[in-house]
Amino acid sequence: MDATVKRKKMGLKQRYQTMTRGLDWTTSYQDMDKVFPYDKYEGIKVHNWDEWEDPFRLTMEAYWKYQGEKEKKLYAVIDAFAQNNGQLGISDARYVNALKLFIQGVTPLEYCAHRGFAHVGRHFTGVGARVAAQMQSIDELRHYQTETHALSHYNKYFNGMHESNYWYDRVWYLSVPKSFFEDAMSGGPFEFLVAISFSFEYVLTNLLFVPFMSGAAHNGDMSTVTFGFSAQSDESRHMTLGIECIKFLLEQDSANAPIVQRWIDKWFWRGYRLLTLVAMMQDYMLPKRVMSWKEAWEMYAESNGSALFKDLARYGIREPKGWQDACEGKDHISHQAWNTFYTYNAAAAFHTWVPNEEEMQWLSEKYPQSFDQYYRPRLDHYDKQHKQGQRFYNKTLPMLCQVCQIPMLFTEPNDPTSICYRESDYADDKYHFCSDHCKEIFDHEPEKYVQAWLPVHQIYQGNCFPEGTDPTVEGFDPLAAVMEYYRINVGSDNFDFADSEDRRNFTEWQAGEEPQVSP
Amino acid sequence: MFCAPVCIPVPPSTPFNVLIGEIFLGVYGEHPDFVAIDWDEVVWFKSGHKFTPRFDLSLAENGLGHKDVIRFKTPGLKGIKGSGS
Repeated sequence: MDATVKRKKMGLKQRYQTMTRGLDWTTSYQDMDKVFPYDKYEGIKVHNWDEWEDPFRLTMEAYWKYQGEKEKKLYAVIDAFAQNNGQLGISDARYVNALKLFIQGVTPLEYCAHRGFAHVGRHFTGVGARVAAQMQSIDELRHYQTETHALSHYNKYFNGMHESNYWYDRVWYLSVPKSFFEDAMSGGPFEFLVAISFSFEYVLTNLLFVPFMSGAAHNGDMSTVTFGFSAQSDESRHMTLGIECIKFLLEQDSANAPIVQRWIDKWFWRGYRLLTLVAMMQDYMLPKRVMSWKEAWEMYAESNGSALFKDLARYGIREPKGWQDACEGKDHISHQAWNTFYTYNAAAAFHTWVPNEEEMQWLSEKYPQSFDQYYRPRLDHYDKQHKQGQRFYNKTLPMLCQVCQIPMLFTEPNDPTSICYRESDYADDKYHFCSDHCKEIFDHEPEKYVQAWLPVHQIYQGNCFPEGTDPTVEGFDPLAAVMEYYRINVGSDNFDFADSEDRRNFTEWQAGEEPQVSP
Repeated sequence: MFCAPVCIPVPPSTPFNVLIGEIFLGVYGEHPDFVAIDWDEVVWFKSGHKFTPRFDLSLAENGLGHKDVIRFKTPGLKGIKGSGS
């Protein structure tokens, strides 16, 4: 008698196991080291990949369903926002400049993360790490797309967003995020995970996302807030991958610890320098402020971070070398960065301004050790100059740090009146750095960093003019040529907010005139 | 006011006093204290070490080469309202 054997439905864990393990094989026609050429040269020793604990535990099937649900909700909100002219409900048109910074400097990083994780997702010999990296690669592509869609509505009404991808590869301040990510992507797969998954996603990501998303909530930007919610559960998976990879590497072999420590030192500092842009956004660009950079740093870095490094001490890992200097910088970096963009605003695709009196008061309360003494006087001076029709714009190009590519705007630890400056000689040339930590990164791998594409040097070498430009003609204006090459529309994308088309338009719309979609 | 040091592309034969009298004027001239600088009192540094340039000689003759960094301190001037800026 035939009996139908009812096969028991597999549990979630079992199903996950079946769909993610035992799918590969040891190659015989080609040597495994040729098939996976990158997973040994960094010196990381892995004895047993089976000890890798998958941080995500999502099958593709579950993943599509789950993400699909989130997308439906997100696009419903984005549509409603557009239908109801949501851009009119924001606190002030100055707020949109935070979004410009986001679409110019952060969104392209999502795309780089997509590429980076796709790359390492191919190159680990361990299947667990491969699956995790591939899943994250898809997340990152989704973030790139949803951010672009959420912000595209603003692009119809405001300047400074129309060429964000093109700008990312060319404009001077965007070489900061670009070089950060390309540094990680051109490292080996293990360095990439320590750089992006651990040092950035696990240690620092709250300092990127929380300020932007809560800034959006405080300033009436529901579209961006909803994107934030939609990305949040992905981010927590990414953080889990960060901590899993670090524990796995450290548990596999004690010889991995010094290699990992060097990467943590490097990538903590690279990430911290990158976050200077967020610090400035938080303290200066949000008309309705959430918390100061200093408060965010104390909450997310100082208290969470020191607990983390205490926990990792059992593997012989200490806090990153630049930690103390980063903590000391919390009173200063946002003010120093804003001053840089304020003075170089002729060449930046967003607007800057002197904070109003109430905002100055807030800054003074949040930064009792530094604001009134070092930073307020020059803002008052700029304001006075601007009111007399002499808005100050710096016309000479700044010196950049060879590693982080930020203008040399940071001051010495414990001396806010002196620029921090270090140099190294290498192969008959001189290289300049903003800090001991950027210098150390260079000195360890000089052959990598001598190749840096430094925007200021490239401009002076004539590599940032439109094709066919003849710089020898009478009356040639090099900076105008650079702006043309950048595709920054002079007079609408750049200069002070007070003099901007964004401000004029927004004021008119508030007075009841119909918003016009720009062509 | 000036957030960072600047890069100045000039030929090595540029006289040091042209650097001060013409180039610095273009770079730093908008600072309210610029006119008050007493150039004979200025303290110069090259790569962090004190150095004494001869104003009548060229940059090259003063030992300055490609990507060298010079800084100067202006005794008695403390920036806008003493802010060091």
